[in-house]
Amino acid sequence: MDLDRALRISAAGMQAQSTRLRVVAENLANRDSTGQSPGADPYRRKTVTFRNRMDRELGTQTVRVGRIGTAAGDFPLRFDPSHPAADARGYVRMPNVDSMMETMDMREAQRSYAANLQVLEVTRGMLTRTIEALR
Amino acid sequence: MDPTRTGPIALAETRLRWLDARQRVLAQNVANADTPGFRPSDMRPFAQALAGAQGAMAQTDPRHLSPTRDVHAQRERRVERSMDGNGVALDREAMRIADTETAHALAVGLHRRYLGLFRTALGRNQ
Repeated sequence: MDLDRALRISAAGMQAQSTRLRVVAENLANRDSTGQSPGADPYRRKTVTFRNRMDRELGTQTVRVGRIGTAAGDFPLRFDPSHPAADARGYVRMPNVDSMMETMDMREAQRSYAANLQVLEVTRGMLTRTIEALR
Repeated sequence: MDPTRTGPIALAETRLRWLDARQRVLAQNVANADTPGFRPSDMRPFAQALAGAQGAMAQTDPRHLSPTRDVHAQRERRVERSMDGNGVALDREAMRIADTETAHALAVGLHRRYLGLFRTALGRNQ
């Protein structure tokens, strides 16, 4: 039934957005995770991608999380000679996480999640009304 | 006379089926609001679907394969796309969903009222 499928599509959308939020949380939590020894790489920002994929069980296309990759980009340097990961000149390589960018990503995930939830509620209302017609 | 095959009831049922399918298509659009390169779809107008109902593939046996893509749904051509090629505008989708919900309430209401007439004729007042 189409309404039932619509419910599951919305649920898949919400699931994808929560994975995205999890990745944002991971990035923000590791904002200061530097390497342990001189020259070691710090934490690299993770990115999430979405794909529209065929769900064989549902017989329709739903959104899925594609691949969780890592973001390219230079690590910013910070002068801190006493740090264990400081190089010969006293600079420490910091993770390439930009908290502004993560916040934007978080807001977007929140907005998309809310939109999916709204669709879910409307669909549920339609389903309930259809069932009530049987009475 | 079978009242479910003719007149307002059959029309209401066709309408409900169309609205159910549309809700699924719209849910798909919203779920893919952040998928790069995704283009939103919508159903063909109901009048067109009603007129061209005989053009669709009929499933006369439960073992027949169902088409994976809804034959009545069509990709939207002229939509504004964001940088990643996605064409979904959440406000537009929200408007359509609200539209679908109202039309669904109307069709269900019509169906009930019309069946109520038969119930009255049969003397079962409820």
